Amino acid sequence: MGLKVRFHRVSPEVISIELEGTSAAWLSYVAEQLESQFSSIQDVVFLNGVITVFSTELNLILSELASFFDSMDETYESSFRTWYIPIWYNGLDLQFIAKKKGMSIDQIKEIHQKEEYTAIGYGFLPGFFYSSGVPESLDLPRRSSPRTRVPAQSVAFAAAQMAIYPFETSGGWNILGTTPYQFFDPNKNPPVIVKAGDRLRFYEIDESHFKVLQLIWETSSDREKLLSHVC
Amino acid sequence: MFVKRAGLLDTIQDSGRTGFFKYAVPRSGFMDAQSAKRANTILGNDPNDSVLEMSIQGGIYRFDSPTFVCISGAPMKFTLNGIHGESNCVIPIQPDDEIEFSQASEGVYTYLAVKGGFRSSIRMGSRSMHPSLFGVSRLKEGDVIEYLPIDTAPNKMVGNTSDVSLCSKMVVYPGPEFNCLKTPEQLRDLPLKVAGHNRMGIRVLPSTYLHRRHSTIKSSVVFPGIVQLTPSGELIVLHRDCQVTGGYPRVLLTNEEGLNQIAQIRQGSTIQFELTDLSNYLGE
Repeated sequence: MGLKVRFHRVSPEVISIELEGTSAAWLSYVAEQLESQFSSIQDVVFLNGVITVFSTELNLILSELASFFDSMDETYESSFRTWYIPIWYNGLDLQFIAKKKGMSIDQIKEIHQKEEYTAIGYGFLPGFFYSSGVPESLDLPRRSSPRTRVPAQSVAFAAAQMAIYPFETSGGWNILGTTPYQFFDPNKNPPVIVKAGDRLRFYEIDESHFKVLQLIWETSSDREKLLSHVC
Repeated sequence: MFVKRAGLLDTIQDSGRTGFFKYAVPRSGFMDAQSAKRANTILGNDPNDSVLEMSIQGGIYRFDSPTFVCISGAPMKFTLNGIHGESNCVIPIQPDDEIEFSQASEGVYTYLAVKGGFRSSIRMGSRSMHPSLFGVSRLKEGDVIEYLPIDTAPNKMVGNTSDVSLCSKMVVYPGPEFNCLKTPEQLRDLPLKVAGHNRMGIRVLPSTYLHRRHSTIKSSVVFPGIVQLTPSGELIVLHRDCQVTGGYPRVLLTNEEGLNQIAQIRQGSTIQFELTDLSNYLGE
């Protein structure tokens, strides 16, 4: 069983590959397979059903891409994990969100923690990943005027997507709170833990718990383990 | 090298990092790669070695050990211990020598290469400074950038005497959403004013409205060389530090040479796009 794909040459070093009706987890898996099978690939990015491949030796790869996709099947071994993310609900927009949705802050927190989210890919800033799964009962559009300063590690959502800001930056998403964990570390390889297809669950912590976990995270040699259960 | 006085936007750059687009980490690297590589080549360095990139206004730099340097790119007057120096040649440096730059007379980016390249810290395979990876966006007064002391002169470079190309024409090809342009033929003779300039992208203002329709696309992958058309009618030539995804139509595309050329066009100056068939670029 082959896979329906359409190739589109963008430049001598860039090709985009359109796959039909595929999930982020599947795209993530295909991108990983591409990278491991073609050593001359420099970069692979996937977004909205399109995988983009960067290589200075694209011609070498092109002749083999068709057979690569012929051999791929939509059944694959899933290596996706579930991560448990602590959040201190101290977000600048928490009251605004509650008011907008006609609920109490406690109800907002409860809805947020009840859902499971799926990471769908990186974009916007180094280490910034988008997740799907924001329920309609919680969802809001982007703020009409973006904040000039969103604190680092803010957990925020907008337009049906959840994200964690890796740095302090400007941004227009609705901020629920802060996590003590840093999800991007440029001194590590890979610099990230979460990959597209992974599941995320949030659990509430208070300020003192936040400070303890922050310290544990900074000194931990096994951050994956910290993320694997409620701490 | 001790930064006695920082320039307007001093950064250390090499040819950038690959393999991290998937985590939304930009390539970064020399804005005008041709000039940076020229400076390295004249010194006998690897063309991709890390250099000091200065923008418009350079600073004052003191060297604590012997080496050789070469300055190339946007013409920027400088003195070595008070005496006027020449670009595009090998300059021997003694301990405590000081190089002082003034303003670039034209162009934007000037490079100072040191024999063997700078030994600044590496993040994700590259020394190219990017605020998200280094926590700072530029060098500041008092910074020290390491290099290996050397006192044997590099072999004299022969042949490479070409200087920076300050060209006001840039080749562009149709991008993936080329059909969002109303009348692409218009581009040929259209003077475009450079309205904004940073390492992420260069904004250019066409003198006429180019939209076929108010078009938004699903977010898609972008990279240095992509030219986006914004809802307000601006064109943005995405450059070395650009994000990896974007929501504006990718109407045009330029090549490596085009990126180097537009890097050197100052805000307020005009540039002309030369629209060329994509097949010429793809070599089909």
